[in-house]
Amino acid sequence: MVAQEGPNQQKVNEAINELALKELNMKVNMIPMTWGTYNNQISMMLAANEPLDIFLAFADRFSTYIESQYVVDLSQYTNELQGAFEVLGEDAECGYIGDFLVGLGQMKERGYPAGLIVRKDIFDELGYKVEDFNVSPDDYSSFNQITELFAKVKEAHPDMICMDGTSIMGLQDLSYMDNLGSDFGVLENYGQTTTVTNWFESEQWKNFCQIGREWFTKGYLSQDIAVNQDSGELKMKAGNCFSFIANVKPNTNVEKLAQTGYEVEVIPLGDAMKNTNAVNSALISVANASKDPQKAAIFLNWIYTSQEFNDLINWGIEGEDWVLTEDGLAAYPDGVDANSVGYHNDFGYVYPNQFAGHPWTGNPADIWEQYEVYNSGITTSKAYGFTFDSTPVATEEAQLVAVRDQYWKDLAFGAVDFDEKFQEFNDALYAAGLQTVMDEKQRQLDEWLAAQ
Amino acid sequence: MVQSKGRKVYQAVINIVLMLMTLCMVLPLVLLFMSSITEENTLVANGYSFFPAKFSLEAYLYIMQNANTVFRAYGITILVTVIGTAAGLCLCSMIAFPLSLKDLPGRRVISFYVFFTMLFSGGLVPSYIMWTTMFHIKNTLWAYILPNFLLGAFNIILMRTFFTTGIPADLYEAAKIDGASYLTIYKKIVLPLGKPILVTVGLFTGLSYWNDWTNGLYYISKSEMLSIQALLNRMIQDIQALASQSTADSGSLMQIPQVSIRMAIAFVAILPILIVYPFLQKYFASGIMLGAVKG
Amino acid sequence: MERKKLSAAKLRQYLPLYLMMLPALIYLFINNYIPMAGIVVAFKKFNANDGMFGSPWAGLTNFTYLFGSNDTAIIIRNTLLYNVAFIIVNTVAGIMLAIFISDVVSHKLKKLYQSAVLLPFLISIVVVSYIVFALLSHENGMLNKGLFPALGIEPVQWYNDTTWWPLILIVTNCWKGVGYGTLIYIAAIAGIDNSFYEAAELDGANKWQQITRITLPCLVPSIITLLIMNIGKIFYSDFGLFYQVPQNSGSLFTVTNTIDTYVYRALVSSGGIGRSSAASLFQSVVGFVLVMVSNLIVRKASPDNAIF
Repeated sequence: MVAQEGPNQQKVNEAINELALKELNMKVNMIPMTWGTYNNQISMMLAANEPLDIFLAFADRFSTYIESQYVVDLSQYTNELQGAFEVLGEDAECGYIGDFLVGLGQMKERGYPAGLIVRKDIFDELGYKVEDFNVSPDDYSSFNQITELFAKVKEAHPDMICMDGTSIMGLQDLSYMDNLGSDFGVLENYGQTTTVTNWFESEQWKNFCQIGREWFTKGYLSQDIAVNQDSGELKMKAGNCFSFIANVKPNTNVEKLAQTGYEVEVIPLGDAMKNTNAVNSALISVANASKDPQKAAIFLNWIYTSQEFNDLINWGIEGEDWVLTEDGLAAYPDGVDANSVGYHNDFGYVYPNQFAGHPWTGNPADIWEQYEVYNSGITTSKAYGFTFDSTPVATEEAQLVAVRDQYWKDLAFGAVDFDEKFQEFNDALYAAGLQTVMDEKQRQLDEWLAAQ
Repeated sequence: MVQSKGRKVYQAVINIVLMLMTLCMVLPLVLLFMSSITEENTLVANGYSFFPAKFSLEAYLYIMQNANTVFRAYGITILVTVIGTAAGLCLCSMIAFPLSLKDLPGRRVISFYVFFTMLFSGGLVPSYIMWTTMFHIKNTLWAYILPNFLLGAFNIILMRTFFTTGIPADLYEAAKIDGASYLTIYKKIVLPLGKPILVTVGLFTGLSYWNDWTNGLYYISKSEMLSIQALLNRMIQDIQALASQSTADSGSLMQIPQVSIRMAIAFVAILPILIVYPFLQKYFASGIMLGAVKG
Repeated sequence: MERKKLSAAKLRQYLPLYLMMLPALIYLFINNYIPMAGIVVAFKKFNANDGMFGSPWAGLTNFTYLFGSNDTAIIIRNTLLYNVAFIIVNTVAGIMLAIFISDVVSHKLKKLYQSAVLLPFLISIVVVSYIVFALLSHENGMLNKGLFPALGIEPVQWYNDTTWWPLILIVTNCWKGVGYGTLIYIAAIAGIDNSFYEAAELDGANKWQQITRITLPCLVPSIITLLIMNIGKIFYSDFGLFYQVPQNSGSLFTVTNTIDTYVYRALVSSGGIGRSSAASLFQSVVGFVLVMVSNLIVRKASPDNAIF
């Protein structure tokens, strides 16, 4: 998996082979696939049982992969994977569905709290400071602070769209509750309960929708916000968008500057929660087509522990594609930039262990420590480590996704009248089998809790 | 006098209708082109417009950064389109002609055999497995030519219908009396008189080859083997991924014009056709002429 | 059976014709018939270890999700009605344009029209969705921000308002696809014997009479062929047209949800080639039945025009 194919792809493969040959006495052949074609190509390769050892599996496909026997159960190879388990700690648990170890998660942030990304220049100009804000779903009136901020922005810059993008609180299904793998039947209040309930009927979701409706009707949101699929980053870059909502983490400021070209401030809109989803949204798995799964597991273990591997796969050949700066960061060598570099992926969040490698320049040098502090400080869902096996209710889930897609964006952004559609939405969810899914989730969860 | 006046009115009416139609067909294309040369931020902030406030060629410059790849991809597409269309036309006319003969034994069975392929398909995965394991076409030019597009039931039946109705059967009888074989009839009567449908089916086949990116997506993994559509499609997808993931310092990645490039890419993909199409028109005209002199 | 009765001499006479057909028949066998064996997967609980044929049978379980939805009726209704509308509109518009273009005297204009009619065919449906969005956007759309204020019409929340979508989709589809049929009909008109028209003109027939008495009857075989072929696809829908053009907007689902968009949405969360194969088999079977029936009717009415 690569972001973009570069001329040095072959060289990187050779360097990895050299390394693997020396340390493990094996050779690997990397198959570069770009993000845009990955899903199509990988599903074809898996169905055709083409030779493939290690690949990236996405959470929404686990059930299919297990049912169709595309992946190897890694729990048979725990001995080979000791090193990786040490790196991942308790987070390795999240790769299990029942007793089946689907794969291993990556080292990255473990929570996806919602935050409002605002343009610093306007924010400062209006005399605001991030510390002035204390917004949290514990008290929904605290969102009025944002409403007032938007009102001020609108007054000072009438042509400015206060908020745009593709997200709002009511769509942040990874932030405010543990959605247990799908949005149907959740553990509310950051997963601090063990009772499965319907989020779309909850006080919280109602309040979020009403806040969205207020913003929409007051003209703070783009009229197209529920329709247009262009990202908030893109909108901000274009210059007439003040803010958007995104998942935030320690170095969000740096990232958003790179993506929007504007200095930004981040106003948190709630607390961070760690749940299974945060770890297993993509797992690195061993394919069933592997000729020697044991060797594949050994290699898998190695890529979690080798610094050189993680630098190679992310930044390319040292000296050619990147150099180490004095403060311990990776950077382009002199005379090389993003356009001329032979290999540069910046894809840390899909590779096994970016923490083992060097961070890219622009980040603070201690960024990985910041991540670790951040990760250890967040609330943990009571169902952490539990993954819902959706196979028994696959038909219902398919229907529910269709119903959700029909209503939730419009409701969450307030693009339609709340009172009219809210009940209709929930009736449709129940008619599509929500209760069955919730009961099944509760049953599996209770079983899992009892086994802990 | 009355006749010619009526004719003039008729000509005026159809020309007005067709002019309006032409506008409907061309204007969106103009919009497409204008958006592709609109400055990115203007486009995102103000939307698409025929008269953008600010122009920029950035999208084209970005595509042309990889000019070599783009031109090679054009080359692959042209080669594939030419070979595929020529071979497809041969196969298609060779089966359509016998099927158009009403006295051919087994005609209905074979027609059904052909038509059935239009209704049922095994789906992508079985095709993929067959082409890659039995015929090993992965990462070869065959991957573009063979799967799906070479010959379709739709075109065969279209052509057969034309041969049945557009070519008088007594021509065949006369030729047979002169001692001509079926092969001679095919070459001397069917192909020349069938020109209008040959051009039409050829155009359809050619366009489906030209427009296709799916074969490239599934059967090609080497980037130097990508066709123009597969390449452009991949570019669009990758740009979205690149723009949303850059974590730091990738200043130049941010400069990729994400929205205008979609339009520029669409325009780059059809440009050669816009250039070649008027030349193809000649054959249309001659086809129509033939229809006129035939009787 | 027919073949056995043939005399050797007759067979020798037709042999070259069969040989001519052979390459095409072989290609269809490889490209279409061999993969059809994969249809079996619609009835299987597929797993990669046992492969397509070795996997255990699943009965009809792969089909249940197609009918489990409360929206099944709406989805089938949408798919059918849109296709019927598309067939009618595109056929009428295609024939009209073809007759007009064929009658244009000026060669230059004729070329222009012929080129123009096929232009939209070159644009991918995703790009079409951007163009439609350029017109309909609530914030910057040409209609809401340009045309309507000038005419004093209230702006319309296009993507939340189902009223106009059947029309928008029919127009978009016609705009994009009409060129295809037009070219086929132009070719068919080119095949009409010119002496018919000359005779008619001598008899003093006006243009309208020429169209109804000569052109249209001569087009009937092509029209019927296209019709039957379109009926075979009546349970299919252009995914891009119904998914991307309405921007996947939830409020519009009641008028934009078709079998293909439904299957796509359902399979995103729980894929499996068994289920997707089941969906397309279902679409095929319905198309097959309808085609058999319509072909039978045509064969009764005018045997020459039947497809098989």
